Amino acid sequence: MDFKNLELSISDLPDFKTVDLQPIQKSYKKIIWINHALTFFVLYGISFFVLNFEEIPNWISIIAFSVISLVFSIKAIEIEKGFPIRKFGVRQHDIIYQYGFFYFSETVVPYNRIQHVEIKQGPLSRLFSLYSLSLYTAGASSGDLIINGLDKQTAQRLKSKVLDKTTLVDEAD
Amino acid sequence: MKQIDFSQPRLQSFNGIFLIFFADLAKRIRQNIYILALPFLQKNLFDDYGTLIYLGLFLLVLTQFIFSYLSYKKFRFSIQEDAFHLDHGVIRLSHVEIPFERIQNINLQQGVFQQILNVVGFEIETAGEGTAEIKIKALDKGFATALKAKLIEEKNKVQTEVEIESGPTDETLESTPDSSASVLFQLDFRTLIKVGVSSNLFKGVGLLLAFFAYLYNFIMDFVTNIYDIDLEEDFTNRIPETLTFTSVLIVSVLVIGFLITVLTTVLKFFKLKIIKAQQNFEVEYGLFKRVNKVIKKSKTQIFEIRTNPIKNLFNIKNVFVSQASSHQLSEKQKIGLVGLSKVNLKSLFKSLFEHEYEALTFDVVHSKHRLIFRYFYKNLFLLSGLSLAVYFVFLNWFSLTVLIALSLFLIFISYLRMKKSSIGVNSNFISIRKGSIDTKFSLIEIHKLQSVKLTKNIFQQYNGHADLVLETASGMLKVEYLSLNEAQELMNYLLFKIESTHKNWI
Repeated sequence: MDFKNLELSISDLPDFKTVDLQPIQKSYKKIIWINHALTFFVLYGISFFVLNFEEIPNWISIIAFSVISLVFSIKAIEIEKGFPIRKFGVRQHDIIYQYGFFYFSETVVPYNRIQHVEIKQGPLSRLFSLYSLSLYTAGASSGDLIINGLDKQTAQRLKSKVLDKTTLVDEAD
Repeated sequence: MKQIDFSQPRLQSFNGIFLIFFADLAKRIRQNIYILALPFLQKNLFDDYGTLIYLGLFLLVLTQFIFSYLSYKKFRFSIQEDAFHLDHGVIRLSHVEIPFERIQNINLQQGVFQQILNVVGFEIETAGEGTAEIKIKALDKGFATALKAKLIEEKNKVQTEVEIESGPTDETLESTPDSSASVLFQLDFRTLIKVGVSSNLFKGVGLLLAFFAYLYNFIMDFVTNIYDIDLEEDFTNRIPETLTFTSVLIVSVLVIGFLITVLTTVLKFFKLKIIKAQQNFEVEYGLFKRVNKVIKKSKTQIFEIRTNPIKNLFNIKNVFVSQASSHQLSEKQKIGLVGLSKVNLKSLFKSLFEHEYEALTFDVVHSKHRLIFRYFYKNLFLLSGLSLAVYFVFLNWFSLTVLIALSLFLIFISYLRMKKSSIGVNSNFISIRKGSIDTKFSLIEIHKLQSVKLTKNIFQQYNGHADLVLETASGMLKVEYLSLNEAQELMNYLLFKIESTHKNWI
């Protein structure tokens, strides 16, 4: 492809792929595992419980078992393979976040489009003292960027960096 | 215009009681529609409990009326110094305040009931994160117009103050309704009919089929229960003889669906009028439900032009404008400007974006051929379901030909969709083309983008393709199956443009 009509040359532009990406905290993987283990524990429990009823034929539980196991193993691959890919990167004018093994996604949000920033901590994250950073843009929530599994220092550094940039841009206007 | 004291808390128009009552009643009935089925379950219900049932119904309706009356009484609004105030709620009281500068649009509309009761509905739209959207069901027309003018006036005052403080911005002043408003476009009846004829007739067919399916189930249940015969089996046995009947049925469904489409389009866009008031546009349309909407220049995010071969023949285009909102816009929420000629389109585009539509040229990147598989996979469920039905129930030459023809048709449609899918960029705009037989051509100014995303599923990761997702303040747009290289280049370019601009997205 060649871009003839653009006033600038595409190849001279900064490439978002060249930025150094940083991984999130390793302990966040434990949280993902605990969350999923709980869900699947309940699901397995239900299908095991159903096995004890005379009226319900056994093959239903067996099918349920195998479907749950299949989903579980896919999830396990996603977590194990996908976790090392979960990374974020900071550039001068935007922030990058990538994740996903089966469905890989790279999101870039320019600082001058961020409406507000939030640092949150769920009950499970409190145990591991991890934080999540949410960057909200205008419009539907699909455009928002949420980075989970950051330590307090990184989360706050990112937040102040983003806020700093957004206010700077406002002043320049 | 009379002087009205808006600072006094007010109720809605008196007729509003009935409107609120009927609206609430309709809502209750819709929520409890299944109760209608009760009499069919128990035959002697009415004989045994007739009086009780009627008494109960009467009490329910009475309670509803009292509740509606109270909610009318508790619904008070006023304009104070800084904001529009509203108190409402019967059991849980709530107080809403909308500062003037947060007001984005004010819409007046009149549904059938509102026309009968001679009142108008009043809506205040706000932008951004808040959910505060105010709907007043019934106001006298004169009062509503005065209120609207007053709110716009207050808003302008606030804006001028802000502008004096911070110097001029590219945000333009909102016009007062009486100054220099001119009709940009008025849809005449002949063009309206053309719009109806060129609409996608499958919408009407879908409506009709949904209605028939409902009716069929209802009658079947009813007949089977009462007469104790299995109509369904009877029907299936006679299928071969009723082939002619089926073809006649299909043709008539198509014809009636077509008529319904034309009719609904005509009703919806009756007397469409676009009024230009300085920088903004007011749009009015509808026969029974007269809708009045405002297109704000700065709030406009996506400009979508829809055509199809029949529309091209008639030389008309439909334009759908999406405005900034806190959620993904549904088709209904887009503002439809239908039956525009090329000249109308050009002048509309020029006044919204300050660029000549004709002069736009794009560097276009097409989706790759693999996209056809993705579209075809989606049809595979339908096809395999139908094949199973054909194999087990009505296996004969007729059903087989239909099945094969349908598969070929779906492949053809997938091919067209793949061919049409493309994205173009120039120094100010992005253009995204989609569609199969019809064409949707969306135009977005680059500085209106919120964020950019690249996604690859596991197959795309291996064969070097990616989907490009563009987030705007009125929903996301997706360009599927670009080659990875091109997608990344596009992303770099768009990011550079967003980050180097000083223009705001609103």
